[in-house]
Amino acid sequence: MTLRIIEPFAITETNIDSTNVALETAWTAGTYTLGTVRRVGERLFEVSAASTTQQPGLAGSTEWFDAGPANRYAAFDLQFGADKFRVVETITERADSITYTLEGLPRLSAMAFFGLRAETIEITILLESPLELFENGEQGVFFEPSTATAFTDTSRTAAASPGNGVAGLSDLSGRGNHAAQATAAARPAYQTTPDRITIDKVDDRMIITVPSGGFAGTMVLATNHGTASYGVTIPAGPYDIGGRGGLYFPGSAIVGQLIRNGELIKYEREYVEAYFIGKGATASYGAVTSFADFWRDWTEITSFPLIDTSAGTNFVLAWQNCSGLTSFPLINTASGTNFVGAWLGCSGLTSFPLIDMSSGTNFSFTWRFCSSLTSFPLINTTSGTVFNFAWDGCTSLANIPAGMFNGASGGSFASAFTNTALTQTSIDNILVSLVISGISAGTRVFDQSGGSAPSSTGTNAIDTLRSRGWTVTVTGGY
Amino acid sequence: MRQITYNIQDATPYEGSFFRWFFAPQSLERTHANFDLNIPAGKKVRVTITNTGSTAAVSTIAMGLADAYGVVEVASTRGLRSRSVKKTEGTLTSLLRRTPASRVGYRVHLDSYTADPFWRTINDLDGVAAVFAGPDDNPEFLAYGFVSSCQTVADVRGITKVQLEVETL
Repeated sequence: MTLRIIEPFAITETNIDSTNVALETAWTAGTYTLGTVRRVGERLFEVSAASTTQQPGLAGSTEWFDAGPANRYAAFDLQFGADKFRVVETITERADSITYTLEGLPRLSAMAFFGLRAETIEITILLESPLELFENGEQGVFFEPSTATAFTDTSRTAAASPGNGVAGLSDLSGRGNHAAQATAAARPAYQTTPDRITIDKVDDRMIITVPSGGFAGTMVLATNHGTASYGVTIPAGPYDIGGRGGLYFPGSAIVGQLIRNGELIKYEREYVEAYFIGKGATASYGAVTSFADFWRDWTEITSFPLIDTSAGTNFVLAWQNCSGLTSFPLINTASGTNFVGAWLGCSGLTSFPLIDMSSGTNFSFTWRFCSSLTSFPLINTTSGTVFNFAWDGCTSLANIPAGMFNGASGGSFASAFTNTALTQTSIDNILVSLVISGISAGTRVFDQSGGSAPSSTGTNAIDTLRSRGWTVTVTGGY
Repeated sequence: MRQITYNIQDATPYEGSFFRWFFAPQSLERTHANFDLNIPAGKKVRVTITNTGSTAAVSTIAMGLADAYGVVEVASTRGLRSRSVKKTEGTLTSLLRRTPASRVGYRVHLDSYTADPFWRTINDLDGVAAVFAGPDDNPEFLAYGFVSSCQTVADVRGITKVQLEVETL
């Protein structure tokens, strides 16, 4: 191993852009008593006389002695040891964490830390523009509608004015993946305050041509309803910026959109989100009540962010056919009532979180065709009345926990578990749970196909259900 | 890489290291160096030192360009030189503390006529504190201090061995 030597660059106040290390009280003219410490510039001075009115740090200041660097600067005084001629153990310390943002630095290839008391050290090269995410030739797009980037012609020569349909939108990434819309009726409208393009969710969208190799990375999408980052895999070819097929979009205006081939780290995502929010995008989806059709048919999404959905009541078809998702975050759905088709066709989901569905009434088609699910959590179905086709076509679904429908409020289970792979224990669990629910009025239908036939436990439950007016169809034909 | 996170190592022994021998009661690393940075000039850099639930502290953060020379041989050494720190006021001299310091010796094998650039660097560091690092798996050879002596101990046809001693701050 080679010997490596770093001759340190001197860090001074001018290099510290910001820090969470507070400065000590600065000296001002007055009378100070023995032991009082005040700061002058980057150093601390302590009174060594009974009292003094002298100014510390001057050649004639005999009643103050230099007590070392201020806490903020101790880390950079390039001194951590001691001898009798120097200040001992100059340490910067702070509860929980110390953060410095440094600027005006030369090129750096190494950084060393001494006298640490820490769990982790994090070194981050800060972004100053989203353009830096493409500075190594990375593929992608960066759209930020403005009079400089939105045009009324597809060749992008005539700048758009507020209200104009946008036919061309410049890609600022430097990769030349500009967006265009040749059809006048399908052009989003350019608007200001904030700069954005609005879409009618009927047919409006801009189209880019994703270059050979596609994009596999991160998309940051900033809209008038919320801002979030997604993992995406987008194949080469035409791709809609705006409503999927002109129809489905998490908002009604684009304030900014950045897609980069190559995943963005958390800091980069947060930076770009903050950048677009600074341009006028809505930060959170927390005020949205209806998420209907928001991400429908967004097959390119490979990971979904933990956004604020706490106000959402309507999740109808919100993630239908998001087949690229393999997992889903633990979003807040406590207010959700209508989950019709919410995850319908999410065929890549291998797990589903235990989200709060206690207010949900309608679960028709909710997880239909989630063909990679093998088990399901014990969700709260106490408000549920309709479960028709809820798990139909979940061809790998084997395990349903006991008690799933103990408190269910309605008996519409037509085709709820058809084309599944339920184990005998699971179908028994479901049937027993329906008995416990006590439903003996209204619609009383239950269907299962595929998987295992119920045991005697299940058939006994079927007898009870039929005695309560249920029509029950199960594997094995009992 | 835009962001690097290093988790301070705990009491896991360093195999074949003097570190555990000298500092057995000290369970957490007190030093860390990263030589794999590639930060262009002018970029803003954020450094965060975290010690959640306790006090985060650092004595020195040193940064710059790292020079690399030769091969550090097995004869490298580290020795403690504990110091007493005193304060004299009038006729009263009081002991403030004893503080550890070290003398670290690197035996470096320089080949292909790299002795000249090595000595230029050492000359530049005369009286200038710098960071020195030996093998990565021997953190006791990461030192910050002054060159206290450096001498050539063998020199044959473009191959030089030097004995470098650093007195840590």
